[in-house]
Amino acid sequence: MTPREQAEQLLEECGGGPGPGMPFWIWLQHLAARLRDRFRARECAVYLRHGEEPRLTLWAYQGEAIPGGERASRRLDAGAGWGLIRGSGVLAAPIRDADACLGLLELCRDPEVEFDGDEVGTLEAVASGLYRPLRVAFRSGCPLLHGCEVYEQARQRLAEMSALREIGQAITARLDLPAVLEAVVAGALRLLGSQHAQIILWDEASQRLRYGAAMGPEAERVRHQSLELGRGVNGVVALTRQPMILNDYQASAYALPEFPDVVATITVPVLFGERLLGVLHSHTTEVGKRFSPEDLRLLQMLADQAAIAIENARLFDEACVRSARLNALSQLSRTVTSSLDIQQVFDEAVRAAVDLLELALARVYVFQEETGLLQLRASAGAAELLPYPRQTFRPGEGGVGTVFQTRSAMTLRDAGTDPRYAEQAWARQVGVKSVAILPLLAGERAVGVLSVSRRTPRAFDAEEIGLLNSFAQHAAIAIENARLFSEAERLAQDNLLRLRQISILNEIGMAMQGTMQLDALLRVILTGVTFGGGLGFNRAILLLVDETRNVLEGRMGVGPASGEEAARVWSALGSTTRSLREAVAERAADLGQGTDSDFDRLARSLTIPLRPGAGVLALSALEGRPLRIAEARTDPRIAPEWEGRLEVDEFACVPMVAKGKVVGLIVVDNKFNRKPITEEDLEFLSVFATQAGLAVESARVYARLEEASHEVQRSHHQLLHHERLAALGEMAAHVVHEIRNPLVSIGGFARRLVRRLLDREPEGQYARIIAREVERLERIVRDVQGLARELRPARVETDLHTLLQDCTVLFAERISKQGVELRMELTERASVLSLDPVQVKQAVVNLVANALEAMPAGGTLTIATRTVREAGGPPVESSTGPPGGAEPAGAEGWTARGIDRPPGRPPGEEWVEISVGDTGGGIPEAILGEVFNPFFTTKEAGTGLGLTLVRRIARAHGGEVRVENRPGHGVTFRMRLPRASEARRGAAAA
Amino acid sequence: MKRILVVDDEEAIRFLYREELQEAGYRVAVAADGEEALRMVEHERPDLMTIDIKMPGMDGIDLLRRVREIYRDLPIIICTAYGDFKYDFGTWASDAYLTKSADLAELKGKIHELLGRA
Repeated sequence: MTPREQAEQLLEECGGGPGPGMPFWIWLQHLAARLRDRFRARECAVYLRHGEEPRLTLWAYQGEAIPGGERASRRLDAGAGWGLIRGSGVLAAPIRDADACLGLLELCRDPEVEFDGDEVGTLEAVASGLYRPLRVAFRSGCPLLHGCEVYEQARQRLAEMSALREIGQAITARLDLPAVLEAVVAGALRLLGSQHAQIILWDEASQRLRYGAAMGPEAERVRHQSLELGRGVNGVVALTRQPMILNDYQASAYALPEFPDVVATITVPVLFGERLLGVLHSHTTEVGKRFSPEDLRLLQMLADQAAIAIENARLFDEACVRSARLNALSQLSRTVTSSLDIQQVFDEAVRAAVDLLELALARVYVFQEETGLLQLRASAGAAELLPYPRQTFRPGEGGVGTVFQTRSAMTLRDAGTDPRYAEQAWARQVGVKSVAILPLLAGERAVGVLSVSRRTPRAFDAEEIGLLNSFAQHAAIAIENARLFSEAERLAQDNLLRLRQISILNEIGMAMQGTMQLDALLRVILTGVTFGGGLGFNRAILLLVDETRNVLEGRMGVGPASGEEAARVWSALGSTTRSLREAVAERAADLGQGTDSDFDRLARSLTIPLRPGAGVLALSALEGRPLRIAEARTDPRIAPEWEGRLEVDEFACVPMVAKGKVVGLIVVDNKFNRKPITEEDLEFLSVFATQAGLAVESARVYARLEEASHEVQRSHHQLLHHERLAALGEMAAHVVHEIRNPLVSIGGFARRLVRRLLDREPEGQYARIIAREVERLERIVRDVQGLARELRPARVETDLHTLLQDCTVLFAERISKQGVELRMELTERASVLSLDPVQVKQAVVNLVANALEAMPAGGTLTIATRTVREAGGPPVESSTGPPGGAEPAGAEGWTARGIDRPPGRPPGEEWVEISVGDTGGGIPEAILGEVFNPFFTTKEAGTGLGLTLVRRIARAHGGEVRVENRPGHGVTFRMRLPRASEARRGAAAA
Repeated sequence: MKRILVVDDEEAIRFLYREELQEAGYRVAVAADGEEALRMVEHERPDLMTIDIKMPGMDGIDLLRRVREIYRDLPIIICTAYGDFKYDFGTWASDAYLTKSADLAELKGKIHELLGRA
């Protein structure tokens, strides 16, 4: 089918033309719909000419757009040729015959699907085919359309539509401002077909019109143009916001001398809502060229699209800036929270401020508590601004100081002329103009200042101030963080120090616990005080309180004697890293050697009376508090004879306290390195001294325990000794018994022989020898028996005086024979006591025999009784004592153990004392302690058991015997028997 | 003449006592143990007895008790080589308690005292 046939078929399908009953325009609509389907077009429009005007009016439309507005009518340019119009996605065919054109048939579809020749032919045929029915329809009253005008109108309209669509696509496809502007300018050129187009943007900050984009031969010339409002045609349009065409530019009031060859101009404002964005301008240098109102209308449409695109691009740009700022802020935040390096935070804050806000300079000042000044801590900016005239500001001084004091921000438009700006001259010189100063606030407190500057007078807008505030906030947080951190660090260091002190105390404490020997302990303590790893004093002295003498006694001193020795010791210490414990162990091992230093001797020579006024050490011990003397050479409390001998400027003494009592004193100084003794040192030393005091007390208690333990051991040995004795005694008793009977026989018969052989010699002599020797043997036996036997007194009420008289009677012959004077001084009134007369008699007989023995060539024998009331009595032989009567060996008379008091005996008891005294020269001091020991004797004929028996008898009666020796004169034995308990015992025995 | 009965398990002692006491003017009978002594007391009717404690068979303290059951007033002296028995209640029934000695002066003195009193 040829295009013509197809066209005919199409028209047929529409009924060939408007028929009766169908209005003309409805038939046109049918046709448009049919054509749209046939050509698969997006739109199909039918324009018809009205009257004689060169204008086409839309009569039918099928498509997506809503008909109306500029689409409703088109202009037809006179003189344009009649022919087919083909554009991008547009195909239009005139409705005509040979000399007249009635209208235009237009199809639009996607530019990608070109109209082929068949389609073009078909459309042309349809258009031609329409001519006749339309002539019929318009016959009466329908306007005739004149061909070329109508056609031109259509062609023009198509070009505009096409350009606008393309421009719209180009503009809206871009988001960055320069590309958008370029697309707008290109669109204007295309739309107007002129040589030059440009867009000029309104800069709110500088209040001027500035270059946006330009195309054409003039493009380079206008690139750096900057216009104030109202200047030139563009300035006027921007000011009035009214579009303007000047078809005779040079003659107009707005002609600028710099554009002498411009013939005509067209300018429209670019408005976004009410807001001026700039102007869109085009001009031509072609003589005779004019801009029509239609051009203006088109350009305004472009400008409107451009406004939206520009605003979009700006918003996008702004979003980018915002995002960059937010990034910078978050970066800063991360730095603040992740870095404790305050300098890094400052550096980053000022750098970010400079980068993001296009600053010339940003500086951070921080208030220093120590100096009371605001100190420059960080800066960033142009190198040519250096050096800054000021590094510090006083609070209240200049802009920085004022902002710090008032805690509110300040902005300066021109720092160089503003008297509030302290660096005015410098600002003028380097061209610093706009300045903003913000306080760094930590809560309510200002901690510093952020100062930023520009070299342009552009003021800081609210958003920038907001951003700067964020930076300031971050810097303030960083300062606060740093302060908290350093505080935390200081606390941590404090804790470390305390931990170190505790571990030192612990180490010394452990060393002390392991040391029970007092001297070793004192050495450990002083080592702890002076060792570098311990408390680290140069020298230390330890004094202990001697309560019996009420003095402070220097016990040990540790420290070098001279500066040279100190240097030697410390360099030796420095070369080996020894732990405190090692040092303590080493020093303790050294005990006994090398302690004999000058300083130690000085320490041990101190004996300070514990009374007020006896110097600082006595004062410290008396009051139980540490004392530090800073000016020892002039302090009036110093006693030259004690602490004065330390020859030092500063020293401290700390009492050692145990169980609430001052047991000693530690004195320390730093004589050689002259390090001041701090309050902390003193506190630490006090804690240490308390520990040391307890250790000293423990050592003392331990020493007493040890002594007691030794005593027990000694007693144990004695006990063993006595047990052996007791066993021996038992054996002796047995032997003695067996011997006794034979002795009786031997002696008895010997005596008989003596009597019989009275006058026969030498037999009589022999018998006498036998009798005498037997007598001696019998005495030994008797004594041994007495000793071995358990003495349980058989008490009866006995008159002591009578008993004593009886005893003397036994010795009457010997007394007179030796020329001894007997003095009986029986002053005791209540002489009747409950006692064992046999035992007591035996004791007295022994004492008298001893006394007489001591006075072979005469003397005075004194036998006396009296009542004694005395605190402290003799030990009582207890019923649990070993059989055979073991008693402690050694000199345990009252003379030796005067201060011991036996348990269970109240003081002030009443005693009856029997004394036997002689004038025989006394007992040599050397053997005085031995006289009560069994088998000790100085006599050839003695058994050595006499006095032992006497004491046993006395003790068996709950009494004691003591010896009162007067060397060179004589000796008196005093046997004391308790009166009260005797009565009790007597009653129990009866 | 007063009669004294000496009881001792040692012959030498019996002999010595008899010699000495006869010489001192007493009639002396001797017994070597407790049984014999009890029989002798029947026959001899002594005026005084000396009794040793340690003897085989019946010891001196038993003997003392038995004799006392019959002759309540007969003076009896305990003569022993031991001092220990002095604390034995059994010996308290005796009129005297003497430790044996070669020197018989104390014994004679006590005998004289007791017989003189009787």
